[in-house]
Amino acid sequence: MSQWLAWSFLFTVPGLVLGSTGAVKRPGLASIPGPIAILALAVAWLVGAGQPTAIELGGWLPFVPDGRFLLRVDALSAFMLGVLGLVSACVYVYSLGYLEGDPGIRRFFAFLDVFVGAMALLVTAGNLAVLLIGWTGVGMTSFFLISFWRDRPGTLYAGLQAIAANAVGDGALILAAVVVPAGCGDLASLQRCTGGLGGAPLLAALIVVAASAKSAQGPLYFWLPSAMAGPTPISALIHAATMVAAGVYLLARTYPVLALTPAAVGATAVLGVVTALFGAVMSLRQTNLKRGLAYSTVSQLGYMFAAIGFGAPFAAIFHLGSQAFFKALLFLAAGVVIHALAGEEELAAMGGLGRALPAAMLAFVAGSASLFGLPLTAGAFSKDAILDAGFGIAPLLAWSLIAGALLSGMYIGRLFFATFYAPPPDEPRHLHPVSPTLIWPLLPLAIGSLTFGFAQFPLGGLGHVLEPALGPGEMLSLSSPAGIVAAWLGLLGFIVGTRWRVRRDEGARPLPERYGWVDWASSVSVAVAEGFARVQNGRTGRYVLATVLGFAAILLASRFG
Amino acid sequence: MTLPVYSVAALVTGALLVAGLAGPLTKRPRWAVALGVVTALVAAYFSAHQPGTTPLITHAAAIFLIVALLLGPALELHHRQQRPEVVALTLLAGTGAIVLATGGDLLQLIIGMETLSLSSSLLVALGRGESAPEAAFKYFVLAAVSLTALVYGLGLIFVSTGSLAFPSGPLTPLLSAGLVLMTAGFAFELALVPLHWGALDAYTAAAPAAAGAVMALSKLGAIVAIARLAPLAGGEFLLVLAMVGLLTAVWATLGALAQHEIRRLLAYSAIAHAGFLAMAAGSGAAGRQAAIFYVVVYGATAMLVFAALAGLGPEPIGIGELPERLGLQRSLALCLGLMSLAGIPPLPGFWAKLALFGPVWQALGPVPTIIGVAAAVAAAVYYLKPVPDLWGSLRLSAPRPRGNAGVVVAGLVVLVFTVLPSIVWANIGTV
Repeated sequence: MSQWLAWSFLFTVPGLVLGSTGAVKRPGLASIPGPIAILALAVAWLVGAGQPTAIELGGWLPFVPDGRFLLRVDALSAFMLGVLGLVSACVYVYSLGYLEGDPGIRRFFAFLDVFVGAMALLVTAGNLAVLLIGWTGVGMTSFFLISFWRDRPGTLYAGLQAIAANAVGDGALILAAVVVPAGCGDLASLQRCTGGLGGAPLLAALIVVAASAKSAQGPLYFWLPSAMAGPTPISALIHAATMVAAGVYLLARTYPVLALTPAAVGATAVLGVVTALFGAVMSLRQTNLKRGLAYSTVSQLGYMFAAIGFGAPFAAIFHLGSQAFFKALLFLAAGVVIHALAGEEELAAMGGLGRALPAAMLAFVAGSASLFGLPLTAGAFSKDAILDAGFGIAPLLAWSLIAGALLSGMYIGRLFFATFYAPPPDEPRHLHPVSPTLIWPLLPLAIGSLTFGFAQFPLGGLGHVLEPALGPGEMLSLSSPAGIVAAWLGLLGFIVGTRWRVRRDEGARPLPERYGWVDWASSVSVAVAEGFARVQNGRTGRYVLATVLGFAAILLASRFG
Repeated sequence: MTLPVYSVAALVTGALLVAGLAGPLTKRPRWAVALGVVTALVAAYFSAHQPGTTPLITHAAAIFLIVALLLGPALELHHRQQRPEVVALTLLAGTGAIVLATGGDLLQLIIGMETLSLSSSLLVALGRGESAPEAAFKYFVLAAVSLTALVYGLGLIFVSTGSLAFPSGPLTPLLSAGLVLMTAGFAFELALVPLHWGALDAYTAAAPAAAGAVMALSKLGAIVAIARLAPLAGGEFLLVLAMVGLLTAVWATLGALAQHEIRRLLAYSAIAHAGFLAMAAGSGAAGRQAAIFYVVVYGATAMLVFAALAGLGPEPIGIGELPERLGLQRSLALCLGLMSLAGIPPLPGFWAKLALFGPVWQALGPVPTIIGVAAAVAAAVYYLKPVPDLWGSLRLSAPRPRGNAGVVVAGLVVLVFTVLPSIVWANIGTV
């Protein structure tokens, strides 16, 4: 069974072929079995305690230190595959309804199939070379899906922002793959690969940079809010539950290497906490529903990075699972609202939808509860695990995260109220009918958001399963003081948030936010382009002179270099 | 490395045959193409058992030639009589590249280079449109300037060592200067930065059907020649070479970022890749191996990209117009080619980058490597910009300009390199 799971990155290929060639009439239908197969096998592995296994094809890339095609299935990759399978299955079904009638729907499902395959490859990769394929593959498909709607302005620009940020991460990971000593690259034994130039600190730094780019942490956060230009199912799958979590997965997987450099671990903790608070504050300022949720994702990923920094990779992965459930749920619920309002995403145009869209409203409540940490929800338990670890290492940072719980409640309460219970705008509006395929996928995600925590509490089952990969998992209790404080603050925040009125006169901003420094960068590049046009001006005499001077320069450089 | 004499003889014979039969072949251009393809296959066959890197180079050149010949009919020529001439010139360009790469002594290298330059200039000139002859003229003039440097360098070496063979033994200042000048002359062919001016305009103005061959063959020949010659001038010169390469990569990446016309964009991109090749060639023995891998893989990708664009006419092609003008097959080919150039795994462009940065890190240290990696990943932005529109416009039925056989062959080669990069790597002998 493990052997099958190792090849799970190919499970979406039949759907891709049948769907994009038109062999199956209804677009998207051929692709649905793929993620379900991944989910089923992953759950079977986890529950039946499957055996870790590896698939190795040697001699594939002779020019990197470790160029084998190496796949490895263990508890951590099975868990990630389970998350991927579940959320993508829900999103596939949801997309059948969400994109019905869109002329590009076959292309959409084709990209989704490639994404799921690449993500599966990423989490089953056994060495850096294979990881790089999955890593860049998810970045590429994310780009194609963000810029999916070719007729809306700004989607390409948003996609290019994602490329730019991803490029930084990809570059760091490429360097990591080539600077290790010969024969090195196996993710399970990377901690022995510190003999190259720069040693363990360099490797740790490169890994942290790569993870930060993928998970939108620190200065590389900017692409995630812009990525909301893509269709909402994509925001749920890629930019909430799976791809952005790949950075956290990488940190958890390579934790033994990071642990060799305490400064790197500490920096990760600080980065995580700062980003967690930053994301929460920014979410409070958003007037667009999806952007509000996007900043929330940035914030929650910060919690996961903080967990890594606290030396608790299990807590980070546990929270990854919770966030996958509740964030995907929140996005899909938001998608129901947006679909009903024919594409409207601005909070100012919403309000009063609680009665008209009860399923979406309840789903949003469930997701919010898990997010702000209502006791017994998944989010509460996983946040507790992080806080417990934090108080053992860096109490100041842990208190900051508890303050962050208040902010989390506030921003999600604000979004909830503005969407469902604020007074609706004066103009009459017509709600488009919402097909059942948009509602049913909410159910498994809601159940998960509310009950996933019981995988670890009180018996510690999840921690036990993941122990071989991540070390002992934190046991949870209902009576930890930090947890109780955080839960009350979250609830308080939620109530406060519902009192927060979104200013109505801010109007709609259809284009992705342009950041000041990006505009500066593009005017610099225009100036550079004009400079080039002046130099490469087509005048033969100039070219000859420049060439002769070039020869002279090379000759001189070699004499004095 | 030995000169594959029979292969070269086969190619020259084929070229002369086509040129000699130009009259009758004008009315039957497909026969000229067929004759050319057969010649290339024969040349590849003859070199199959040669030692060292020679078979890889000849086979790579043969592949580039075959794709270029298959795209020949898409060239819009002023006169029909020029059709067989294009075939002959392409074959001669391939000959020049092979001789430049595998020549047994320095004079052979120069002869190969000049054959390549001359044929390339003429291929560039043959495209329709006003800018083509002008660009070819500039390229020709600059090739003459570089020939001066080459012959001057050869003279210095001859004065130092008394022979035209590859020099060995102690490095006197005169010998060193000669080697540097000759390497710089080949660097012109590679289109490295202080010497790239004419190449840039030539690549832009050439018809896509010819531009791919000109680019791929010139880089193939030049980088192997540089890899063989530069180490003889000492370790410090290798450092200079690598830094020139880095400068080229950064310069061309910046230049490409603001281009709106696809052919000029691809011309800057070719210069950037030349820069990466030079960085690799200056990074020790492992780097030279990586450089040969890179050039074979890059050449295949360049052929694919230009095959997709072949036959679209001499006017500038804005990047935004591409989706309407390309059919399904060509759009897919262009997407694949652009993504490979951007270095997206598992496409071969990614393997080439991966092979390159390890040796560069070992030889040059962290800072140049990081700059190089930054240039490589920044390039992804301009390569990938057209791709969403191309994907978005894919339809199962669409206009199909001629020349599709070349696209298919180039596409197959790129896919083989994607899955089995070791097929190239294993055949690189010591350089």
